[in-house]
Amino acid sequence: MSGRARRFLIFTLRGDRYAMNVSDLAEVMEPPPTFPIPKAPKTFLGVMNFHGAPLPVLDLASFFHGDPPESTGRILILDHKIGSLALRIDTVERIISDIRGLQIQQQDEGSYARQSIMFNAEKIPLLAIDLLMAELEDEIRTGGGKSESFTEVKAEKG
Amino acid sequence: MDMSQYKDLFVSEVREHLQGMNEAIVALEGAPAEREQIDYLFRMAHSIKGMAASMGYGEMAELSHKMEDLMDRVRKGAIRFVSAVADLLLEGSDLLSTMLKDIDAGGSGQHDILDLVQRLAGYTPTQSIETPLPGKEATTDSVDPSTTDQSLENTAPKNLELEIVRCKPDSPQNVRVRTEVLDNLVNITGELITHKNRMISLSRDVKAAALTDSISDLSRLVRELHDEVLKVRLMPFAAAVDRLPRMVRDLAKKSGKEVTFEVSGKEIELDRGIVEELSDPLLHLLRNAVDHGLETPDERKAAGKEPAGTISIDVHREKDRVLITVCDDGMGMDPQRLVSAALEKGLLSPEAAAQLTPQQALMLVCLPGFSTAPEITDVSGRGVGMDAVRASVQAIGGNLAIESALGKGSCFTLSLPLTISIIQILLVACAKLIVGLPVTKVLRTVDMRKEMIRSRGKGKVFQLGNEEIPLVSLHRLLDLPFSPIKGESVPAVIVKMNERTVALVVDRFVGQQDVFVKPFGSPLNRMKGFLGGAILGDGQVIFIIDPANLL
Repeated sequence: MSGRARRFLIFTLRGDRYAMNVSDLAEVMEPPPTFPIPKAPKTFLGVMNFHGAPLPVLDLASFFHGDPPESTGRILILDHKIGSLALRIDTVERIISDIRGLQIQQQDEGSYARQSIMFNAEKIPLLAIDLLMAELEDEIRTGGGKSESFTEVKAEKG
Repeated sequence: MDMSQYKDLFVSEVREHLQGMNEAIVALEGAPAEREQIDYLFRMAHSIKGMAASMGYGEMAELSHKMEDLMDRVRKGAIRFVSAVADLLLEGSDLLSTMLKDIDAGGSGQHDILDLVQRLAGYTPTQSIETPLPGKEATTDSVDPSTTDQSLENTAPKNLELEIVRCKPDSPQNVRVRTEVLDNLVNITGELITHKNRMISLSRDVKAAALTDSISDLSRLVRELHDEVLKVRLMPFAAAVDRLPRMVRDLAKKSGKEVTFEVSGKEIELDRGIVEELSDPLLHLLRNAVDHGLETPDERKAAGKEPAGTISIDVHREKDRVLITVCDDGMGMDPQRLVSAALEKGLLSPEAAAQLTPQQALMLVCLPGFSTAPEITDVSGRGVGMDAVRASVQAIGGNLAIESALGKGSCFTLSLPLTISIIQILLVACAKLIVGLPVTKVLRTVDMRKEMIRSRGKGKVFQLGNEEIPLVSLHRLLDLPFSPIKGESVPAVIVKMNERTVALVVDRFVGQQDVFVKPFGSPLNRMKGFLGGAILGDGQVIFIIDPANLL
């Protein structure tokens, strides 16, 4: 780190706390109107108009737990260097800074976190956005071609 | 002699003359002694008279004749170019423009001109009207006609006199080209690039040195051609602002405010598609600036400001974007009061309000519904049509930012792309979804009668001429719930998919539209079969299908 303290946004999903690097975020906002994304995995709420650009909104609760996507809570817009993606979460709790000497531990496998933050005697997983992005890219690339019509037209072609 | 074949040319030339006239009148109001402008205005009226007479539009000829007479009196020093003269001439120009519109629409251009003709002919200066005009009395930047042909790029235009000289009719080196010819050129060049790319990949398999060399030359030429073609589409920003000085003048008069209007960077070039879309947003911004941004002369004096407010438009390049800033030195906006207004209207939750930065609070004026209530407009001093402004700017791939300082004024910055990929799409509805198909990929659209559809093996085919075309359901391709066919015919779009002609079955055709395509970033760019997204006029986000890759 370049001398400046890292800051983390603490948010909740179905009552569980998660942390995210503030530097991975561009904006926090209220849920905007969304429009359907054809062929997209069901975990997407839709696509929103973000300053004139189409931006897909992933429901993180739905992605982690498989519930149907919801349009309440808050929307986290990721920094454009990471990708064109917005995440729906339940609530934003606070922003903490590791200036107070936060304990950051290596996290066990799973749930898109490599590390966790010890805060108020609670172990909060720190979201590894790159893992999440890689998984999403994979899902979207393979998700499209599975439809019935694919085989149908292939058959017609022969 | 039948003159109808010359009508289009007549309409376009007179329209240009009228535009030049408007600019010159407004410019002369600021600098009434400018000889060049007086002569120019006289010549414009004279030419319109001649053209209208030869085309047989008697009333138009008579009206411009009377305007010419009035200008002649100014030219000879018999009367001064005061506000009342400007008003008469602008009224004349407006009436001519109304008549021209009628002619353009196939009418006779007849109109009741008697009243105005009498007032033009009977104009006599009265001492009380002959008050000196405010503003630019001294023509510090007056232009020597012998130097005006040189490039003015390094001299930021400071006043209107300078601008008018630049905007005089085309020099003989220029030719008029129909815009559709330009669009065709762009499309053909786009296709050339696609084919060049295909040849490059083919030549890799062939591995013939001579072929590779030749293709690399071809690549370079196609790239140069593409650059040149895009340059042809560029037009100076001036085209979007030429009528604005007139508009600001009228608005200021109506609202009893004094306004100095400045434009700099008119020579900056932008894609034609962008320039065309800019008129309305700029108009909204200026109207807001005059109506709500600037104070009355008395209020300004009380605040220790000059009685005349300044509104400026500045255009400049910044990397691959063009920034257009519309600033006023008026009362500015108070972020806190905007937040309270939004809370009152129920447009914002108290929780969200607490998180807003002052910068974000200013953007509240762009919320639909924020501006409609008059009491809120009074509080905020802004907001009329700001949601529309933001929507149109976003539709051309741009962005809007607002800065404001209380008591000092506000600045609205439009950040726009330099070039733009506008394509024409066919909008089709499929279940609840509306998607676009590039018109260039559509072979044709058909309404298939039910009896023309037959079963073949697993699927269905449609008889089109001698050909049997397989049906493919767009619902299925897009994983949408299938809706049963209602009515006697089924709408379909004939496209090529995997080198094969198919009929894409849709629910209905919605229409055609030019859209600005925004390619997707990660992760949506992993999705096959889409060129990108586009934002329609109503803010709806749609997906644009690339049929060739949808499978």
